[in-house]
Amino acid sequence: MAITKETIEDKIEIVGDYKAIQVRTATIIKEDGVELTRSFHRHALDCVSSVKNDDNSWTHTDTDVSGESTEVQAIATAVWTTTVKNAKKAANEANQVG
Amino acid sequence: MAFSKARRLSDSISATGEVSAFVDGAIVAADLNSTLDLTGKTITVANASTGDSDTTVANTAFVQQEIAALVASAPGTLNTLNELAAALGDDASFSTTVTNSIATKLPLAGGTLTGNLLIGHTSSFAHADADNLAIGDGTNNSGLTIYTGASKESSIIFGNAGTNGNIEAGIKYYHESHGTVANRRAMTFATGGSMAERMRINSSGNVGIGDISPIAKLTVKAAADTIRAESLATDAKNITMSYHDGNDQGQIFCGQDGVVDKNIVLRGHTLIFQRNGGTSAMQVRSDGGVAIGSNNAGYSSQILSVKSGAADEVLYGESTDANCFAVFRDNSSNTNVGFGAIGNDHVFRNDSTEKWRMQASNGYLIGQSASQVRLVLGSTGNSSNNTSNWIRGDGSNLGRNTPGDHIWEVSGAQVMRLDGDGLRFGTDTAAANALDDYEEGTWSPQLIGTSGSAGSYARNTPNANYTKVGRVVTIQCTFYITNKGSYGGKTRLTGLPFAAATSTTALTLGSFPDSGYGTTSGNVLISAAVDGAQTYVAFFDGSRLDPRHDYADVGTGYYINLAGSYMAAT
Repeated sequence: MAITKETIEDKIEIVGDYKAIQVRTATIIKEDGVELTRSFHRHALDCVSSVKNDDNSWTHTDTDVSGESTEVQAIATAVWTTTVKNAKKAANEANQVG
Repeated sequence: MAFSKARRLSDSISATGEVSAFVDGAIVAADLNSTLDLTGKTITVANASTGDSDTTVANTAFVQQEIAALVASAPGTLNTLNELAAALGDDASFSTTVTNSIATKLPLAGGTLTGNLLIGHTSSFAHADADNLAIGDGTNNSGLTIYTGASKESSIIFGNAGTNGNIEAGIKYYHESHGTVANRRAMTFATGGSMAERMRINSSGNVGIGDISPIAKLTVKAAADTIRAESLATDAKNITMSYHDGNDQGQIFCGQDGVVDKNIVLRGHTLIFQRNGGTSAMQVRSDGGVAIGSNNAGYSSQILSVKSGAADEVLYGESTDANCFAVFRDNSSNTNVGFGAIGNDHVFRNDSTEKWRMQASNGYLIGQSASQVRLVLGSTGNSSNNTSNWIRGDGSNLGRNTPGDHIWEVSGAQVMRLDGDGLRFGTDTAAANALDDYEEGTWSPQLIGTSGSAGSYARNTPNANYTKVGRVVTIQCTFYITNKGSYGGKTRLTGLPFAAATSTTALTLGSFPDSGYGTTSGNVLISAAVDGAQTYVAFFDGSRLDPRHDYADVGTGYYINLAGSYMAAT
């Protein structure tokens, strides 16, 4: 009887107009290869983080995905285009988000 | 002297008195004496011929000759008149007697017998009801021959004085070239008053009843009942039809045990029932198995094998009451397991306890009275399309499929519907109201500043969970930071499990790591909200329109307790 634990990114979603990436990480406990339990952990990534400075200027920072899996990095590279990021920045400023 | 005197004188004296020489003239009667005694004399005369009839003297030889001619070859016992008379019975009226006697006999030309006819028979042998004609003496061969032409028929007819021309029945034989081919050399038997043929034996010896051309040893044709064989015996009741090969195997008989029911028993090595000129319809095999159907290829040691060549229905059962069941029992059990029909429903039951019912209205009732109801499905298959409804099990999981929606009802009212949009309640059909997602999990909150860097940032292990129902994400987190790190700028809580929809949504703070939080002298009202279309929570010094909270005001050792719900982006 072998109990094993494995963690996989079992779902990667791209949502919203600005291609936010949602990553679900599943922790799977198995006995002799048969899944006993599965639990989820999530985090989400915006392409750009915006901050309105005290002088009312804006600072936009591209999200660092270097700590993400290669698959997430590849997706981010693919979907977080300049157009998307610029649109995100504009939207954040317009909505005073930051 | 036989001559008369005158003769003698005339021989010596002539008529003129002259003595003349002896005249040798003809002797006439007058020349002789009136009497002529020749006693002691021998007179010889010529022997006349048989049949002579004149006046000449006949000698004894002639007499004997004539007598012999009269007697001719008559037997010695009938060659005298006395013997003849004796033979005639000394009956002077013999002719009359004979005539009268002949008058009592049947003429050769035919006539009417007024009495019984016994041929080689005695009346004591004759049957009292059939003594008009009796043949044979009971010892020797006897018989009656009816002889006619080859193109004729011979008949024995039974008639009476009643109707039908006095003809009631008969036996007829068609000779070799008489009538049709079927009739030739056939013997027919007629009854019924009109000489209607009832039975025949044809030239091949085949017996036909109702058939003029019997092809088997016994051929019976009839529009109604054809054959009835009945034994009136009180013990041995067998009526046997068998073939003889030393074992007497093939039989149809009424068994001796059939005292009450008078069973008909068909006995054979293999009983074969055929139809349509040889197509096997049923067999009772030598091992006791019964195979029914036009094709018995599938039979292999089953007690009952029913197989259809083309028809969909191979077995049909019907009862006169409301229930009709086929029942089975394992001999290790005392329970009769049956399936059948009750009305228009399909029903399975143990003894009389109903276990499962498929109603004619397509409803299924399983173990209505059982305390524990289970439907065990063993299929491991899956559905390759959505064109049919099915429920399947693979030992672990239960799958259900329908081309349409899954609908739950309570007391006949719809309470829930599951379709491609998700789960809806009641009779709601709006797609927006469909619950299409549910998920629980954890997330990793980080309370950081919008500028600077993490540096030596540290926090305890957070307690952070989320529940997503449809698009609504409910989050909760509790933790505290032990080192603010090198962050600056505005305060944010990052790591949300789902990106937010475009609208900003307020959350509830239970506590916040700001020394002034909750005090009357500090920033007493710090609020939190998920910024629209973002993946973080922003904090405000007061309401959302107030300035955003400066990370510089974040303290260590204070818990942040946050909870609330927001809409997830799609």
